[in-house]
Amino acid sequence: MQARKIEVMHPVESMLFGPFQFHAHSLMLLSFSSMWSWSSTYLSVSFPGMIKEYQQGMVAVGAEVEYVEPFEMFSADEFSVSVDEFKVRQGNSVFQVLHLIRAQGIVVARVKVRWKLLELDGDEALSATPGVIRPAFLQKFLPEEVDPSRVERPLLAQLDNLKEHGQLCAEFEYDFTLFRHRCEVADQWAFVELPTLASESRESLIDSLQEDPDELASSLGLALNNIYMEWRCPFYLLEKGRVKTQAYRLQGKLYFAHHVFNLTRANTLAAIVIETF
Amino acid sequence: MKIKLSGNLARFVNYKKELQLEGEGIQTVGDALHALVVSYPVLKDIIFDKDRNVKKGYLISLNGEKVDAAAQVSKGGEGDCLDVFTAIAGG
Repeated sequence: MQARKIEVMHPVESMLFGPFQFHAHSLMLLSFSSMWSWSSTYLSVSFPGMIKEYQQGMVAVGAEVEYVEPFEMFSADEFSVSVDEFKVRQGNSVFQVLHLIRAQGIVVARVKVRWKLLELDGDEALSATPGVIRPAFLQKFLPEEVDPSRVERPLLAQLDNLKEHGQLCAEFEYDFTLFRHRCEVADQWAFVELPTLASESRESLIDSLQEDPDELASSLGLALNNIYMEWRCPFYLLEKGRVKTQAYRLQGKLYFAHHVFNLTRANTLAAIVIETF
Repeated sequence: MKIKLSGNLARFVNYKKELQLEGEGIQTVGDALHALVVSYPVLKDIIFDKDRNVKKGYLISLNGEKVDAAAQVSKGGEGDCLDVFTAIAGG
């Protein structure tokens, strides 16, 4: 049977882009929307329906945004965001969704997101515990869309490689408060905001440099190759955070590794981001 | 005793940063939480399951230490700070 895919067209406009490429949060936001177009189309389950009818929620636990081909605002007038693969992974506990961003028939970027499934208690606060997909929801997936194997976590290998072989160039700490404009409906940080926190910390590091022997500022004139992300801990409205950013050079490439800590929750590691230029 | 509710619980106490709770009968964290839901009845079915246990989706810390509902508080909870957090990891 042919794989169930969906492709949604969008006009190109300036808010989606930085000078050299799509903003990562634009791609993640449009990808998330396409995920729910797919679910509505093939499963007849909307996002509110997942909560109300199946008592199921989800949180992002991992994502990669990869810029495959150069593509900036003047490259085309429109582009599409697809769901090319939607799988129930890891013992029915994770949704893994692959999105391709295409323009003029060429894949220009790829977004892969892993969502940990939650079982809701049914109360007004959307109280939840990590769990698995409920049987009535699972039966809407095709057999080939269910893969019990563990998901891959490419960030961990990349982080180990950087620590072992990279040349540490600079470090910086960036403090923030989580305000509501960064949150989703339940006042928890929206997953699309993680790359924006990382880039704010990177740009603050660059802004703070008195001297720049490693030419870190040059990254402001470069397109990103990819961003790898993992979420570890919740982060809620008005909680305080700190991004610890380290700049590395490795085999001619520039990397920024960001560890996001939730200061309100006893400095718990809340997320890790690695940007590769 | 101070009680702080964060995350998805804050709206049920009108976003107050901290709540004050007093009572001679409060001996454990569980007692404090049961006293809390007397003042804020809407929290009863949110924090507790049908067996009156704290739901697994919440973490409790007493003076910065992770505890369970059986943990002892100071006499009447005086000087203690109880935090109730949402436990779900992710974004």
